[in-house]
Order: sequence, then structure tokens, then C-alpha cells
Amino acid sequence: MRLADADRDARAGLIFSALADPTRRQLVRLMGERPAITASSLVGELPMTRQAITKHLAGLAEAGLVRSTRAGRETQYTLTPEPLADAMAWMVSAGARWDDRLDRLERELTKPA
Amino acid sequence: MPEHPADEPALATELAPGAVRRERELPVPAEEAWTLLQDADGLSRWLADDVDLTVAPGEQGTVRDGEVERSVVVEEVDEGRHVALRWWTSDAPGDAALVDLTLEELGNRRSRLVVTEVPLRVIGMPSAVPASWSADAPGPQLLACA
Repeated sequence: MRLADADRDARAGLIFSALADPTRRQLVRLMGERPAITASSLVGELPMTRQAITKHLAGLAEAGLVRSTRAGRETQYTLTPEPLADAMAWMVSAGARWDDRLDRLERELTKPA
Repeated sequence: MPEHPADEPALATELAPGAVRRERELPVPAEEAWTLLQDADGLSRWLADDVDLTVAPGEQGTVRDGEVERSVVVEEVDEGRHVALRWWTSDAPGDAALVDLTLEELGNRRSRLVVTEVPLRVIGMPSAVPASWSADAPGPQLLACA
């Protein structure tokens, strides 16, 4: 495996891990609909505390999916979807590898004995 | 493992982001297709260039595809219909993936192979590295996430 691919796969792993949680996926959806959010602005919308929301946002930031900026006493979060490309690239290449394998399997099974 | 209707995923994990799923209808009964899943000879005809693996639960081996060599552990075998593997490359042992191969009988001398590959991080499992694999720490069970 080329080093660039390994790096990309490692980043994809981080992103998949961050998105494995349904709350984080919901946060990504919400951020996709608004220019920026704060943890307290979501308190009424999500059935959890501000602290819990902040923790999930920090998890997304760690995976590079969210950028945080200070705005007075609050932290504003903005979606930065670029790293999703690494995750998509992994899925596309893993899928293509399986297509090739399944082509070979089918050929083996249809070979005249 | 319980039987799943054909239109239902064999593992709940494939709904996770990052899961890859493929289905292929095969022109032979499941019993015949199984001969290409049941051992290294069969698997090396399609899965990879070289397969050094005994297809039995807990067995470890390697699968080489061109320049890419993966370490493999057999997680589950359901004779004649199902194999689950966990594999990882030596340069990214933290990014192991779970591979699930399930044969479904379609009747009329046809069958279907359903493949899912899902990075273990997605389903919250610790990834396998060879050093952590021992009889004392047999790793997570598949059923726990199904």
C-alpha cells in the first residue's frame, strides 16, 4: 500500500469513528443547514445537556469535521466537510476492490470444468 | 446466527457510515460456491493473489494482493454459508476491518454472495493488532454488534 493511501485510510478511520455516533451525525446535519452553531443554541433542540453537546462537537473537531472559533463567551462551530473526501475515497476504493474480487469469483465459477 | 431474509442485512453494522456492501448473484448453488470460500486454495482463486489461512475460527494468516499484504484472523465460520474475517495491513494496524462473506441459496441452482467490509472503528471495536490477539483476549464477538 502506498504511504499516501495509508495516511488517507487512517484519516478515513478517524472520520468513520467520529460519525459512528448518531448524535454526531445529527450535529453534522444541523450544521449543514446553518452557517454556524453554538452548544447553547442547540440545548432546546437536542435531548441532552450543553456539556454533552460540547463533548460531541469536540469529537467532530478532532476528526477535522468541525472548526471552532471563539465568539465572546461562546464557542461557535462551523462544519468543515473536506475530510469527508478521505472517507469517501476509502469506501470507493474498498468497493472497487470487492467488485474486482467478485468478478474473479464469478469467472472461476463459470469456467468450464 | 439467526436466518435473515434476503432483503435484510446480515449484519446491522453495514448501515454504519464507512461500511461497504456488495452482492453478487452466482450461477451455482451455495454448496458449490462454498468450495471457493472454505479454504486457502479456494480463496486464492479470487480473493487475493496469495492466501495463507486455515478457514476455522481463531486461525491467523495472511492475504497478499499485489504489494499489499494483510494479516487476517478468522472470526466466525458457519460451514457452507458464512465466513467472517478481520484483516489489517502492517502499515495501518489500527485500521482493521471486519469482512463478512455470506452465501444465500436462491434456488434454481443459483446463489448470492453478500460481502460487507466495515472498518472496526466504525462499530466501536478496538482494532486488532497481532500482539493483542491471544486466547486470553479473544477479541470482541460478532454477535455483540449484530
